[in-house]
Amino acid sequence: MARCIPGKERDALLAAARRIFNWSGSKKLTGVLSVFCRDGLPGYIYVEARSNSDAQAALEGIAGVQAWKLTLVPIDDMVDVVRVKSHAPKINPSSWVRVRRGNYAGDLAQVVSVLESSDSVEVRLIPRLDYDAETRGSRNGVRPPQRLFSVDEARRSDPRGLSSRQNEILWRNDRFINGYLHKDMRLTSLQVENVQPTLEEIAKFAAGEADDGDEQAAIAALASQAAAASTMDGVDEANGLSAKDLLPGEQVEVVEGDLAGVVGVVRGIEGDDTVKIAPELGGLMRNGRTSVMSFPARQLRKRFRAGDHVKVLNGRHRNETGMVVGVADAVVTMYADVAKQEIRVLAKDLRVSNEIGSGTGGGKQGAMVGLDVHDLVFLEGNTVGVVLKVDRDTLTILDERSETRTVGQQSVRPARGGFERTGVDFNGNPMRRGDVVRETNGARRQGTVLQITRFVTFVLARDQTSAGGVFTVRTRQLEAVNARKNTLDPYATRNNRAGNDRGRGRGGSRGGRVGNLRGGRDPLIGKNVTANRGPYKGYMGIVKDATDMMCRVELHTNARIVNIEKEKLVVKLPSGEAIPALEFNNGPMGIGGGNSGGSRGPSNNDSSGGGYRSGGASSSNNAGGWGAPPRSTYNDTRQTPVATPGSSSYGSWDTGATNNSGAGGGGGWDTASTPSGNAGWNTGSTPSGSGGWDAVASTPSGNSGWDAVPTPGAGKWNTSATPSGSWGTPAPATPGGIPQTPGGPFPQTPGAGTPAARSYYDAPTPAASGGTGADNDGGFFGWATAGAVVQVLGQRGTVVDVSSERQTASIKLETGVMQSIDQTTAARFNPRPSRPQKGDRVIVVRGAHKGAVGKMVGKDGNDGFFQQDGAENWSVEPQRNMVPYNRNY
Amino acid sequence: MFFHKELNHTITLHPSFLGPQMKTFVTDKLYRDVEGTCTGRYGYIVAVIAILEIKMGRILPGTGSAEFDVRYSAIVFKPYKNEVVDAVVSTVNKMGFFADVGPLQVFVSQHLIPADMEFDPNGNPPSYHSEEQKVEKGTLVRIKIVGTRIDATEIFAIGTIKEDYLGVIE
Repeated sequence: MARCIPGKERDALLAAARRIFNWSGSKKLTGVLSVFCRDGLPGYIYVEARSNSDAQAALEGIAGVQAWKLTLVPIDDMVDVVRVKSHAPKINPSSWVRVRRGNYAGDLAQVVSVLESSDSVEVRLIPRLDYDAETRGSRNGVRPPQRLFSVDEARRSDPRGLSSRQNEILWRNDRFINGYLHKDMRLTSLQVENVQPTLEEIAKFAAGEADDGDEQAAIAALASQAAAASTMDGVDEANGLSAKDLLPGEQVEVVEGDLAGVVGVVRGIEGDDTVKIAPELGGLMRNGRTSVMSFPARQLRKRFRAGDHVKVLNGRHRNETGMVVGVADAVVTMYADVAKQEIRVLAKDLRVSNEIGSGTGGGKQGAMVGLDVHDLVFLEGNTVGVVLKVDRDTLTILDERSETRTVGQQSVRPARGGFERTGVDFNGNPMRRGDVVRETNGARRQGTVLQITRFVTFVLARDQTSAGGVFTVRTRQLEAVNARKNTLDPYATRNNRAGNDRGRGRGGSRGGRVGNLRGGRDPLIGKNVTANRGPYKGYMGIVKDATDMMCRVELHTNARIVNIEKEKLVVKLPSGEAIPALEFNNGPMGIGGGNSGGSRGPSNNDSSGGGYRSGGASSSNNAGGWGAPPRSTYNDTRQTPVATPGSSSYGSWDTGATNNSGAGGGGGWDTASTPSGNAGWNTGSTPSGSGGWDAVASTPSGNSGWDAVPTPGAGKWNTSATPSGSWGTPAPATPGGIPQTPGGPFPQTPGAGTPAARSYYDAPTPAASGGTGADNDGGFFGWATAGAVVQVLGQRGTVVDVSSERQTASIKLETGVMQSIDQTTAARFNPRPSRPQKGDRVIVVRGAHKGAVGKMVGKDGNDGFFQQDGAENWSVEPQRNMVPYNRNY
Repeated sequence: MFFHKELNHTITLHPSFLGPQMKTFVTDKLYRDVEGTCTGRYGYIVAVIAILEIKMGRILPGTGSAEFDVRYSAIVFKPYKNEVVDAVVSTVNKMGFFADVGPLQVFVSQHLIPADMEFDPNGNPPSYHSEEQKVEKGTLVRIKIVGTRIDATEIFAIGTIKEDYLGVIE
């Protein structure tokens, strides 16, 4: 290493080299191996030699070098000094570059030749000339568009500056060949890497030759052809594949180098540029298997064959998908799925893909209104249109008049709820989306209904190519192609009737039917839901139909409709929020009511609500009635508040009833007539759902619920007599003998009973509902069996055994503690049966099947479906008769 | 290719049909539901051959509708890559032509039409023709399928007539 005057390194280096060449014949300088300098290390010159004296001799006397200050390269620097800088990008004739600065900044240019021993290249560009401005010598700041050189215009503005030489034309110091500007440019002013020419730019280059009809093209027809050929090479260059475009598994072809033509599959990518490929040719196999070979990415090209389904990754057609119909070197022609047009794309911008896309839209790329292709939108006024293409901020829309136009996203309003929209066709039959229709006149075009309104219908034709296959027709001028009358539509007749007496409104024809159909659609229908439990856990779908308990859900995955319990569903809102389906009814949509008793109640009260009042509210005459029935009655009708097993409760109830009457309705049934009572009932109809009665039964809120009867006796029945309280059974109107399902969607609001109803329900005594048998007397001990799962003091436990005289029992709690219970402590511990879930092992504790063990295969309101072990069929069993069964206590 | 395939379908019947003619309704509904439909997995269900079994219905809690699992056998048509099919040309345009193979639509791009066949846009009807053959609307052609795109409810194919023994058939 020797010091040298900065800037003189190269001179000194050449001088030294010359000296060594001169002396190479002699034995003088055999020791010198190399001399070099580094641009990055100014002021130093390096000599590689065997000895210090050899090195010194090589530099002695060369101007600018301080040979006497020769030192060894410090060990730390040795590696850096000789490290070859990462390769300078290789510039080949016909490769593409971009101009960095000046009038042509950003323009694509093609290298014509590399000027030896300099850092300049000759490139050709499409000129941006403003002939007049050039002549005037003034630029007005506006960049002229790219246009091939025109001799005529040049001659007109400055004939004297024009001269020609062979096929070149010189004009005002610029050289033009075939209309292209040829320019020598320094490499530093060119962008050499990552050029990524688009097909359009290249096409412009190539088109220049073909379309140029003036004399100049005629003069140089031959040269033009040659240029065209080179342009095709240029396309190859435009391939410009870089390793990041490739994924393992993609098929590639080697297009350059010794192994050109080899086809292989990408196995991996090393670093920025090296791609490992497993060739598919047998000739390259070694030891029976193909070895993985490495290639620079630019030597490769993605390989596609006709029929491949591909997706565009970059460029103008980004995200479009289609099928390859033709491959010409690096240019792939594909038939777009949605646009139904052929588009030409560079192979490097494609990837094999199964998805189907339509372009830049898809709701991801700034399609802020969430519009997708084929969505219906409102344009200005009341005109509608259908989206044909979604761009970053514009939409292409086909409007009512069959005109295609491009509008901003702000100027349209998406139309929601398309599945409800129907129209009436030429023959007066209803049409909806997806129906196959034909024009009744005109071209009799045929297709499927894409979007329908009362007036116009947008039809997607399979074989039409304009406007993506969509055309607009007046709804009335279409007819269904296969208009089979749907005899299996249960509502077909009803629809007709509705059509006939439209004026009467909907309620009239429905009558007093009780069911979830009342009051219109379930708000869940059409919503996106996800199952969060059960066999369909994790599946997404759209609710097609809904009842109070179940939903029919069309799964996204395989277009199947399955039934899923509502409680297992979560509604996905567009905002990303998830709401349990049961709450959704009442909640966010503000569709009021849903299943809540509050809004629905009044209609029911006429028929049945009064029953409650009759049970207890008319205290004066009922007090006797309640007091009178034999004990067994109470015991039998567990649902009634007076279902007290103990002997004392008989009287207590009596007291309670008396108190009631005295207190003017402090509790019990009577609560319904007091405001506070109403409040209590309303807890039952809060969004906690259909188990309204439960809520009441367990409401600790003092003065209105069942708990509230202010007598010790009442308290007693509440604890001991309602082991089944958690079933929600205290309420079901047993005094009136009406089989109401408390778990049902419409808890009866007892507050609005009419006198008429009361008088009717006054008649039967509570005993009317009795007589269900004496199998369940004795509260806990009435039904307790070994293995039954119970709730004790807020814990789960399993009854381990029950004494034969049914006086004591022991319960094993989930904590492992054994708890003994006898007749006297039963009231305190208040063991209640657990509530079985669908699919649980259960034991029947009451009724005809008492003692049977089996499985609850389903439930419906208050009833469950019980399948006894070994039995083929299941039977209906009140849920309260079944208790989860745990044999392995 | 055509297959004879055993398939299952679940039919939901409204309670008003649960009566003596229930089986008939189930059968009707099956035909209506499946014939002519297209599933990505099995292709087009061309015709139901036989109904093998109608399982015992199951009432759906809440709605009263009954669900029947029906096992049936059907002829299904699923196009495969490299399959050669006969088709009827339905549309001819400058990009190529569309041909129908029963329910399946096949697009034959101009790239996949022999180079000697030229598009004649002014003909009536427009056609591709060479010296010995002419493709216009209604022509019977033999096509080789080079690619299929299978959606949930539709199959679309790309075909070629640029090989030996393909093209117009008499």
